[in-house]
Amino acid sequence: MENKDLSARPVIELIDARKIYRMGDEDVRALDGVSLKINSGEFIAILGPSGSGKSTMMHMMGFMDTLSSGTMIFEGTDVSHIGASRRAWYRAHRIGFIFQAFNLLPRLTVLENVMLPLTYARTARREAERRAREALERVALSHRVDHLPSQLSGGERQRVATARAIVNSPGILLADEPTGNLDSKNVKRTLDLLCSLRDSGLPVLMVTHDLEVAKFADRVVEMRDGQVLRDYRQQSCRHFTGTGNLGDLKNV
Amino acid sequence: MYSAFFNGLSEIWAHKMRSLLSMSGIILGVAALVAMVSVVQGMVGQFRGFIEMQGGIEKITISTESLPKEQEHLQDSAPGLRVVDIEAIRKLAPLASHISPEISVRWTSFSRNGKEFNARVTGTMSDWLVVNKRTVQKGRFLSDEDEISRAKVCVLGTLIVEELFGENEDPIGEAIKIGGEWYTVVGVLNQYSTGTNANAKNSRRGPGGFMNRGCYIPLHTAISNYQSNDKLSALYVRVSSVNELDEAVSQLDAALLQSHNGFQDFSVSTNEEMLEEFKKTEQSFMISLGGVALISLFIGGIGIMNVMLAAINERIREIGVRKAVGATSGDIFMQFLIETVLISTLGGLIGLALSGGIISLIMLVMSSGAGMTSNIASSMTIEPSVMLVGFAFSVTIGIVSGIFPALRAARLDPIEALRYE
Repeated sequence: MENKDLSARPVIELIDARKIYRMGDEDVRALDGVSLKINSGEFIAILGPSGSGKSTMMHMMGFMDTLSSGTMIFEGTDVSHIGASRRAWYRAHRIGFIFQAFNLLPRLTVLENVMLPLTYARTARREAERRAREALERVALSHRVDHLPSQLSGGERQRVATARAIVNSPGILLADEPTGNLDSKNVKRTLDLLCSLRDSGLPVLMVTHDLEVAKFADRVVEMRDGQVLRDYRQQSCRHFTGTGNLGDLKNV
Repeated sequence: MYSAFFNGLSEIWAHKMRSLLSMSGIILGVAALVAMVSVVQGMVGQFRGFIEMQGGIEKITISTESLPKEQEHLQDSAPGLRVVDIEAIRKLAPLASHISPEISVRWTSFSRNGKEFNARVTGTMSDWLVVNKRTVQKGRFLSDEDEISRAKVCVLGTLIVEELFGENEDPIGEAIKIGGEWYTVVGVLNQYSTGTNANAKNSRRGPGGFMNRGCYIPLHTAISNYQSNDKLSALYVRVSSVNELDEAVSQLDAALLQSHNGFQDFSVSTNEEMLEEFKKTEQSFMISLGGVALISLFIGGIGIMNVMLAAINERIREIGVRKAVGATSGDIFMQFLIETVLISTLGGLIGLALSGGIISLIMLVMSSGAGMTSNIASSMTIEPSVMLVGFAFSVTIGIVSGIFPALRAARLDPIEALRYE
């Protein structure tokens, strides 16, 4: 499907996106006609209680699942009906994922964990290693390359996970409750890292149920029952000078 | 591929005990398979060697038998094998290229220079050497001239020479006393030994000991010195080609029946019959022992499959992460298949090493025994082809038992897998 305005082409565009799960005899509408555009350089927080469809939407955008109906356009290409191996290709080449539970592989070193997406993108080993070291440098962990995840603190693990998510120079960074398992100091650090990635032009889409965390985003999409309730822009509190109401975060 | 290989190795290393236990079936199966095939091959090698030492399968044995039931009442008139049969065979059984009649004289005392030794004496003719596939190491064998002149000459087995002569003495031309009569030694036979590793021990014991204790004199010398009639103990015949064996047997049957005036008081048998019998035994060994090894390998495969299924259950989240960062179902399938094949291949290699140990142990135990068993032990070897088959088996089992767990891992939904606690 051709995009009408190529100059201001959104990274991802959902048009009347629907996802219906069948649970027993009942149909669950996890996404119920969502239309949304995500542009490059945006830091978007998807807010909503559990069951609101925010994770489902992130899975769709992350090529982990397919829509029941509607359209998804990724970097100008209609990807609504692509097969499993093509979706795997997008995950390896164009998507960066950060999870709440870090999800590092315990038996791989920090470097090997970061190299993982490049392995599946069939990048030559030497090049993969170079790029992984570069990504680790960006998250200030180049001194930990040979450590195992079990030897790192929670904040360091999340930074390794972030390095893994950006190592393949993705088109978008998807973060699923990235601060859920962190103390307030590391929450601030992680959010700062996401902001700086956004500053470099990488759009960041963060799923959260925490209003305070959402304040770091410059656009908030609130969801309820599989639909977009509100979609508004705000000034990221990252630029606040300390007068804003940051709750737990104001002292870190 | 490369990273799946190293991932597999690190998973195996991380769960050393579990990996070793899951390999145990393959280890035992491969060890049993290779050891069993080597033992049976040892037996086969030993038996073939034995048949070869008996003159090979081109040799036909004719021996005296009691008359069949319908002729039983004529037993007293049955002639038995006699010298005239030699002529009958020469005339009527042209396929018999060599004929070796034998008269077994009772065990006799041998003496020379005060040394004494008991050995057996056989009267025979010049063809004996060819029919029995033997060679002389010194001097010559009995000749047709010895036969005609009823010469008092003898050819000795190595054991008699060892007992009666010193190490540096040449027995050829020397006189020895056999049962009170003087004979001149004209030849010494090569040492008879069974098994592939001829050694001093098996030349003195078992069949080797029996054969090397033989002394051969001309047939008619034996008849005039030790017998009152011209009866033969046995007749051996050689055909020039194995293909002629069946026809030669019927020729011999006909010739002897005619020369025995219709009395069926003899039997004609071939070493081929022995070989056939042995092949059946070998087959039943292979089937029963091979069956046990294959069942053990099969169970080993099921064991590995079981462990892999359990391992995948533990690693569902890992599979989810790998898929989330771009692994295709094919990547996951290959990762787990390679891991399974690595386990079974390592098991196979350990099994091969173990089979070497088992065979050394069997050889150690068997070679301390006497006769046949020590000979079997000495002809046991682990052939590379057998090891290759054992190794191929372990790889194949890895692939077969790995397919189902790998498919299960590959089919996992990444979202479900990531949610798995």
